[in-house]
Amino acid sequence: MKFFKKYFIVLFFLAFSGTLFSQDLKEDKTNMFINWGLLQLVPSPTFFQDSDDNNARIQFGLKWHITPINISFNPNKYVSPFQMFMINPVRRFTGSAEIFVQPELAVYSFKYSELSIFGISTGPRIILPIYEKGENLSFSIGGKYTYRKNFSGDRDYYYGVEAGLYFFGGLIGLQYTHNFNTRTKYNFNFYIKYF
Amino acid sequence: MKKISILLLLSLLLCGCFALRMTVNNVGNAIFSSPQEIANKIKNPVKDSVRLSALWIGHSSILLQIYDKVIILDPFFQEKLGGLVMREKEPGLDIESISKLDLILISHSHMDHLSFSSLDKIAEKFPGRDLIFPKGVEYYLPNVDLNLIRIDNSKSQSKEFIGNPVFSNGIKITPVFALHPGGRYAFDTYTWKIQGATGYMIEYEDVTVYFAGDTGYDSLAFKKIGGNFRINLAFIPIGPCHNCDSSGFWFHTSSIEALQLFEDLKADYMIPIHFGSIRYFSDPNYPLFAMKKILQNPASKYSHLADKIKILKEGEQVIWREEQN
Repeated sequence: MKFFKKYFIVLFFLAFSGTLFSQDLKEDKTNMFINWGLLQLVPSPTFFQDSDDNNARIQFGLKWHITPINISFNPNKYVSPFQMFMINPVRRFTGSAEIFVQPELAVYSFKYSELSIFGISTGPRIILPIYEKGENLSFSIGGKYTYRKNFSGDRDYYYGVEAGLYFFGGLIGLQYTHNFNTRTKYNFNFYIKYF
Repeated sequence: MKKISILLLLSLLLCGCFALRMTVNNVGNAIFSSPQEIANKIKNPVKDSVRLSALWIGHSSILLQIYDKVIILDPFFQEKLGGLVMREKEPGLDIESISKLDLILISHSHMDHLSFSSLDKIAEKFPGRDLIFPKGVEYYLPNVDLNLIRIDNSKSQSKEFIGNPVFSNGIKITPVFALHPGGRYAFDTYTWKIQGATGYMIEYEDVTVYFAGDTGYDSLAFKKIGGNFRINLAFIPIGPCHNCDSSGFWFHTSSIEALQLFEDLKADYMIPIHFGSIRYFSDPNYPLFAMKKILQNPASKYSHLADKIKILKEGEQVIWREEQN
């Protein structure tokens, strides 16, 4: 827990230290990439199911969101529909498809399902606008494939489906994943991603 | 965990994230209240035999008519800003009442100036009309059924302060300096640093209108702009400001700075905008009260401007007829 406290504190101040009180609003790519990179380290709180045949519990953890590619369905004529990693929110929530990668880290071990605390999942999803062209409310649905080792060190893979609701430009939201794996059948997370 | 929460909250506030404070202040209203209704809205705002008319829709939205040309500036017809901040008064005009439209101007990408649903409604009624916006706004602009024209404002944001004009339906639009950041989602102003704010000089026939959009005060810039244009009417934002008879807040002009800006421009008339609808951190009409107080004070160096300032209510229209040239 002490590690996470330090992590949050250092992360937040690093992310804004260069620009906190800046009045210089000229484009500065280096600064932009550093700030963006640090903001990507902000995790989304996640709850995993941890169960075996007789026991079940909710396990707290963290999840990060990486978007290697996003293709917008309806961008304006001045911008590209294709984006990588730094994803413009408007092109995303107005309707788009993307490939995502999600590293996951549980705070404590999965003692019932006997899975390792670290996992990584990837898959495709589409995002569709619901309200105010998706800026105030958008929806996503996708499929995912999760990789996680078990206690014996063997690889364990499972498929899942996920759905999400996003608010305020897709900056925050809620995601639910249903895995086709009886030991960790579902997880639920608050979605936080600064583009 | 409690300490972390406090630290995160303090960090957000330190970051100048007044959007967060605004949301917290307004979320109750957004859920439980509705905007105050505007009585007797004008049903036919586009008139014949008009040299110049301006209808203040509210906040920074204006329906401008210069002779036969009708222009809408920063259209914002939404009830809620960002879905979370309820506007105090409803828009003073219904889009359905606009019978003719030639041009739409967007000054920058902030939510109170670039409203997606408002553009959608305008595009539905007037498809294919020209929509002019400054460079940088394209990143925040969804695809709408309007003719998008990106204006290069890099020259006007340099020490030259006045950019290269574009023409739309015979109307000359020149980007001019605005001291204001781009961005839309709070932190992107700091992190992405996308520039995308401009003022506009609108010229048609013998009429010149200045629209500031949103800006802070810069003496050098506005004196130069005033020296290069013979401005008939200037739309100048007042506030938000914590202390409106001194400096403005975060790239905004306070009431007193707006008066100085008006004096620098040497315009015939000023219409104050950017107050009354959105509660930033105090009474949204406070900048207006402060401005009136300054104007009514005989000792104030701005008291002579009182007759030149047209203070409109939401939905009110001021008209200069052709014979009033």
